[in-house]
Amino acid sequence: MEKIGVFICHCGSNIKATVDADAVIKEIRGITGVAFAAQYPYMCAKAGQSLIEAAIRDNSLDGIVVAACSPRMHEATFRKVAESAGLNPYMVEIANIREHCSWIHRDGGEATVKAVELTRAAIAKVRLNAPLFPEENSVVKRALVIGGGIAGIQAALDIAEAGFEVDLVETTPSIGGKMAQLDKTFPTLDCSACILTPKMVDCASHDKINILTYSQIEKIEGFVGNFTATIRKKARSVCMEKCTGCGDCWNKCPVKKIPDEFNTGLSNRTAIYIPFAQALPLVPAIDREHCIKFKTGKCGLCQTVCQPGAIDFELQDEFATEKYGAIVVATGFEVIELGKFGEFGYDNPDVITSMEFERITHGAGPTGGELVRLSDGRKPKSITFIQCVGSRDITERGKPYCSKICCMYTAKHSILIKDKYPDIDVNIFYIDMRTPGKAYDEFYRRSEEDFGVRYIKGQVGRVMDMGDHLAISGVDLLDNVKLELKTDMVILATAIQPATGIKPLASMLSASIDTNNFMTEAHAKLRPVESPTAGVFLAGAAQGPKDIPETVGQAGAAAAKVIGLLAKDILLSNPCTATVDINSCNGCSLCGLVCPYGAISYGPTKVDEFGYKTLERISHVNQALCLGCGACVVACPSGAMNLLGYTNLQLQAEVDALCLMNSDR
Amino acid sequence: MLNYEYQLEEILDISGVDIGRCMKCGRCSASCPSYDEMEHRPHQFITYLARGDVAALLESDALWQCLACFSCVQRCPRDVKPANLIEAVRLAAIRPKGAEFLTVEEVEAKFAPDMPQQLLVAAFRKYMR
Amino acid sequence: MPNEFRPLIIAFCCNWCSYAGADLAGTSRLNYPSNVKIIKVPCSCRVDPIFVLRAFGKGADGVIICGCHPGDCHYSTGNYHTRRRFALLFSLLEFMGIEAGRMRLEWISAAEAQKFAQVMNEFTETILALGPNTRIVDIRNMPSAEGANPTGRPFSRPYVYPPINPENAPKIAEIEAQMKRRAVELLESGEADRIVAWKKSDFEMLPEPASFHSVESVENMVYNRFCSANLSKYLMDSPWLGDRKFEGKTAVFLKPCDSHSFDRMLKEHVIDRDKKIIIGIGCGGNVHVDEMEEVGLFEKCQVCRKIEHAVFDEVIGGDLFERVAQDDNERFDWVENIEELSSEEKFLYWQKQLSKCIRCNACRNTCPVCNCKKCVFSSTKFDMAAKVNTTDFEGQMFHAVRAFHVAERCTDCGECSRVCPQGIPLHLLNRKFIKEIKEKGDEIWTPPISP
Repeated sequence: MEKIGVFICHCGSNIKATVDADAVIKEIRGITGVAFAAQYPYMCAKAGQSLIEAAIRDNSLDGIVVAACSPRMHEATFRKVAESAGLNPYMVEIANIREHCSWIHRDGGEATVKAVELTRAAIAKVRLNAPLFPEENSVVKRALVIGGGIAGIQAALDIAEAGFEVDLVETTPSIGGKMAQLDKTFPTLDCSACILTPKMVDCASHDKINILTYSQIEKIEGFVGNFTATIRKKARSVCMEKCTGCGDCWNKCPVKKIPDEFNTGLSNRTAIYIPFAQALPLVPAIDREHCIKFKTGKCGLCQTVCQPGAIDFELQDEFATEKYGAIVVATGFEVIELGKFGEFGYDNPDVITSMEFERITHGAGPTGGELVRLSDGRKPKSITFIQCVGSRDITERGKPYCSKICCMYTAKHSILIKDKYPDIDVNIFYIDMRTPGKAYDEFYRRSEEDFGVRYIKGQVGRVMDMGDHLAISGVDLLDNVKLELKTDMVILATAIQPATGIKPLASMLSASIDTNNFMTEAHAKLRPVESPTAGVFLAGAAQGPKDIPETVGQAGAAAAKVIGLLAKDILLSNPCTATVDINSCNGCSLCGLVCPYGAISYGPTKVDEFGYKTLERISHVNQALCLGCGACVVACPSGAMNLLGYTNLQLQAEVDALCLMNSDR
Repeated sequence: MLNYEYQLEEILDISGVDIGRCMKCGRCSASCPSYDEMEHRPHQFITYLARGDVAALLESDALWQCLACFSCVQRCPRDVKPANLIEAVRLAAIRPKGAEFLTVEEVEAKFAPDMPQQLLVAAFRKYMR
Repeated sequence: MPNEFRPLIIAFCCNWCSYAGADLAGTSRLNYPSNVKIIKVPCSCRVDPIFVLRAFGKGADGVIICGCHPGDCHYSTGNYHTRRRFALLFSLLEFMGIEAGRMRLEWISAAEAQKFAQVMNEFTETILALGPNTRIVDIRNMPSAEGANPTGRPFSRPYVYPPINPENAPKIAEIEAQMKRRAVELLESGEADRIVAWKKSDFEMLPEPASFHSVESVENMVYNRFCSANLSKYLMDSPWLGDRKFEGKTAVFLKPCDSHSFDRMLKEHVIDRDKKIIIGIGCGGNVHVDEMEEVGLFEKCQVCRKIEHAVFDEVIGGDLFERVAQDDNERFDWVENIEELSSEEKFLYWQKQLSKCIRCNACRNTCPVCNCKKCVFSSTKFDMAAKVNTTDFEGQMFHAVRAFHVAERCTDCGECSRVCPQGIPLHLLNRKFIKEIKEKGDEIWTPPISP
């Protein structure tokens, strides 16, 4: 006869306010198998843990049920407690009487009844629990960082500094990301390139960092500590070892009319190109889609002029397969398309996004840093900013979230304009100015108080092209008047969204994404840099809109998590895996067909059935590959497959216990 | 004294609008071609209703200045549909009258001569039995 | 009047999305009725349809399965399995007259606390409207088979068995003669060590499946319109169901539809193909025998799709009968006939049928895809071992579980109904699945994954 201990947590008043703990204790004392029951204000606290530990030892309990908060919260805590008291940690079950009971139901009587039922179900389950023992898996001491922007660069540097090998994978020909495109950064107005380039160089020169630009993740398999990634190194058509980065090729390339992605399409580049002057590695790539040699077979001018002979048109995509212990996702963001916002007239060259404005003010940008109208090259006399274009928009046109960085970069843009050209009239239509952050609000106030930028609480209904200027029809909500403004340029604070490709990447990682396609964190507050998939960490705007300081901070945090993981030599696997009863298995292959991890194989196995010994085709589960989803268990018609920790008997016992109230029907 | 609480409920019910969603950005008013004619602006219809001041809206001529062009509905980032709300307030105003709201005699006084013909036709179709 | 009806709802929630969504509902202090009880599973694909039936059997009024949104499964494809499994299970239960509203499948992410609460509130409303789950409880209590039909309408069309085509008789006799000649050849040459075929019995209409080891015994071999037994199952390499100890080579005669069952068994690795010689034989349709009376053409033969042999080494008399593959013509008529009934009528129909079951297990033993060495109903790994007819729920839900376990594997050979001593049209349950799979198609089968 098993001896089960039940521990009811009050969680201060979180549970006790609605659930009558005394009544629960009284009810469950009568349940078969319950040998001990106690309550305490905070079971997770030191004293509560000691109480459990002592009870296990004193009563030689075989299993315990803790009726407290969600198992997602403290299951691990109580398992440790059990372990320290000499009980197998898998002999612990949690009855979730906080999130699923006391916080949901206002009525104390109802909540108490439900708490009893949930606890009874947990008791029914724990009675059927069996001790489980995790397997040990070694940890590959190498990290994969996906995305070569500031988030990926910082994470790679931090991990490498701790002495672990890092592969930094970037799809474009150079690392640097969005930060490389920016002119100045808020709130200090230091130049973006000046602070980013040294980090890029550090990255490139670090002996532990292997940069793979112009590369893509093709496939990721495995599990925490033992991922295997296949990386496609796109054919650059330029030999990395031979190229000196002299620039002869891109200066001579006859194809010069390709929209330059780095300059947001505002200027043109050649077919063989580097994205920007400080590109790292400083090795060009040939854009095969536009290159004449690849389209017609003629030309080859770059090859002729290349003195080191680095150009090789025959290069093919290469595939590298490498093992990693941990993965950091730092794929960043992009701005949304504005096709659905006809009222702002984005097709007019003088109506631009903030990212395009960054390039226009940038010294190395399409206008050489001159602030001019793209339509006629004239210096604008008046500039109007419109905030929240596509952000905080729950219709199908936009994104429901706040893009977070726009208020601050618009304040930055307005200061930059006013600082250089005090005579330009700057108006900003805003809904709310959101400037929390160190020295952020002061920065925004300076733009209004010191630089005379006019902030208008209101929105713009329409931007119209009047030939030599733009007419804006907006509203000032504080004055409750309509404003008809003449302006020369309109800058739209366009919403940002996760970079394309995040969806397939997330499914390769079997990590989840939210409704807006941002990577989901394991816990919104307590595990913000971890994905729910063990061994996958998040950095930067892939997880949600973020500015540079936050991105760098998160990248460092993700790196710390990676270092903590890679510092371990072995990881204990989840012992809740599928297991086969060889005496019932038919070898019918139904389980193998549904396994997402290829963890099931079949082979002749010795079976002894009531003395009748044979070799049978029996399925076999690879414990290291099995993640314990249970698909095979349900597929198995004979009930030979079972999932440890969630066995058929256990789940049925839970069903039975919960249905007890209707058993008299 | 009319029970405006009932009318408020009816207005919200007819329009199917959740005024709680409004984040007071003003894009409705900024898009409104009748803005200058309206005593209470489109965005104010929402704030008035939010504080339950149906009377002010019912008494105001602003109610009848809306051209139902639906620019505000199209551009509202929060899917609040101000034009639907205004239409619902109109219904709340005419329903108690029971019979014809607009008579031919009233037209001259109510409508400015430069108003579009279309509007008059629409108004007759809507408010006459 | 008993106390106010408080529906009991069991919610199976996947650990990664829906359970976390339920946690968030708690953290956000959202409200839903206290009679919703959550059971945590690692993935929605861990939810065995048996658990759902079990919950209903134990008195649950509603069961809801919640998983990650399609495409978001923590285990990549788990929820696709869930989707197709429950699409089938729900269609079956609805077909058997359990109200469709009692079962629900929802995708709720970890972030969708609002949706979780809303779904639970809605579901409770639905169940409140449906009232207590009395139908399954009624099945459990098994009222008499003669239970009155309150609707007054016939449950299904009166079934007509048309006579068999008399022109078939000489062709069949010709095939029989060839079969005997070939059997003798095989045994004499030693190519085969035994022949599995049909043997004359005391009654003409009851030929028995038998194995023939000697040339002399072939004399008793028979092939006529009564030889409907599917011989595939007799070839299974199982110590319990087949002839495990037989080490030699077996030759077997299979009609076209039997060979499809054989093919399915090959795919499930329960037959050693190398030790079998498959001789396909022509078929002109079999007849239904009731109370030792020849009634007419079998239902399955009426809707025969004239399929070719799926597996064979040689064919005898294959050209004697026209075998132009036909579509499903009237195959689903009977199923559709039941589908048209109201939920209550469906229930009464099946209650009348299933309550006749004596749990002789003939359906299980004859079914070529019911080929488990040890049936789940005899397994100690499920708390549902039952070998005799019981009045409890599991006893009656045996057929639902069995139908589900052979779903997507069933070759529609109709043996279950043929061997049922109580005349329960069991094959309709799986034909309903076949119809469902055909109709739902891409809706639940995309992206394609293995069964």
